[in-house]
Amino acid sequence: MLQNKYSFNQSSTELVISGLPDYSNNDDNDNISIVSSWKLSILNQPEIEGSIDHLKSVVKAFYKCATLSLLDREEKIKSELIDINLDESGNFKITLKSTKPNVNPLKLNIGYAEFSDIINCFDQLKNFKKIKIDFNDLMPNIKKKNIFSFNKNKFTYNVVPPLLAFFTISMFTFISIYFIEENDSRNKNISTISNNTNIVIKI
Amino acid sequence: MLLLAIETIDLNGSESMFAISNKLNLQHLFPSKVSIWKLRSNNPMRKSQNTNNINNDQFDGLIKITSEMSKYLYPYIRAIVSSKDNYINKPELWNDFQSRYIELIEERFNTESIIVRNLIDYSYSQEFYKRILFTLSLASSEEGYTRLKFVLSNL
Repeated sequence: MLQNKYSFNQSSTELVISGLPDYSNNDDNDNISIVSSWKLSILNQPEIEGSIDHLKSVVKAFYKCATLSLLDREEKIKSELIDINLDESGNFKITLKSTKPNVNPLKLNIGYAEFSDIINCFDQLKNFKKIKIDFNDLMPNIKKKNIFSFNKNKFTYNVVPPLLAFFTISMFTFISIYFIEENDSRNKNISTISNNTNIVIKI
Repeated sequence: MLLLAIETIDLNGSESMFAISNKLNLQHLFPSKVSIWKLRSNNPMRKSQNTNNINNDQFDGLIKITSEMSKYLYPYIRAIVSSKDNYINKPELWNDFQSRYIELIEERFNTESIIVRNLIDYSYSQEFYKRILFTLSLASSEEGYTRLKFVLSNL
């Protein structure tokens, strides 16, 4: 039985999927339902390949990362097979972990341009009818942000300054009141002493 | 801001948007170039701001136009993003984009507003420009429309 092979290209990236049709699923000869191998080539980067589980894990992580980036939520993506996070220079730092023992993780550093090429390739794969991969589990399940959820940036820029101002004003007010009262009580003491002395003089 | 970025890359942007809307059979929503312009004028940062309500179909139509336009412009969008990623070696494209984007913002938006002043401040907003282009590049694929709609509805 001949293997089918399809490739998806976008600028710097090429995704190649090889596999076989599943005749028990009424597949045509040119379909792929059983993915035997896949390969992702990115310009100036080492090739990535693996099993269907790896592919699903990679697609899921990339889709989630893309959506979170667009929503301006900087969250690290960690899974058993792949980690993605943004480094200080604004590039995507990708760590691919092998399931084979004694194989070091593969680290890639890619820019926004390459990242969007990869997403483009995955989108082509998703919409290609001849390869039957269930993408329903791979789409990001991102919940709407709760209005009351904690946002560090919002807290720093919107809540901290008024709180600080309120605290400073309160402190100044309390200190001022304390000194005024202190001053008043000293004045009262002086006046009672002077009154007493008057009384003594009268006697 | 996304449509303005498209106009920055495509000098004939407003014409192209109208042509794309016709191609997508959106004549009932956008019968003329002015109708697109009117909807775009809903942006509160604009100098001549309109307060028309955008209905769901019009919102959807604008997303479709944005996604379709970014499909056509993807090679340019990618080249500009790549120039920013590799700024030390190839700064020209990014600099050109940035200066024209700022020019357009100054021309169309109310520069008295603090938000707009921050937008035209290069050092403050260059990451924002990059994000706008990144959004367009992710909206350019076959899933782009769905992705962009999801993101804009969840901001």
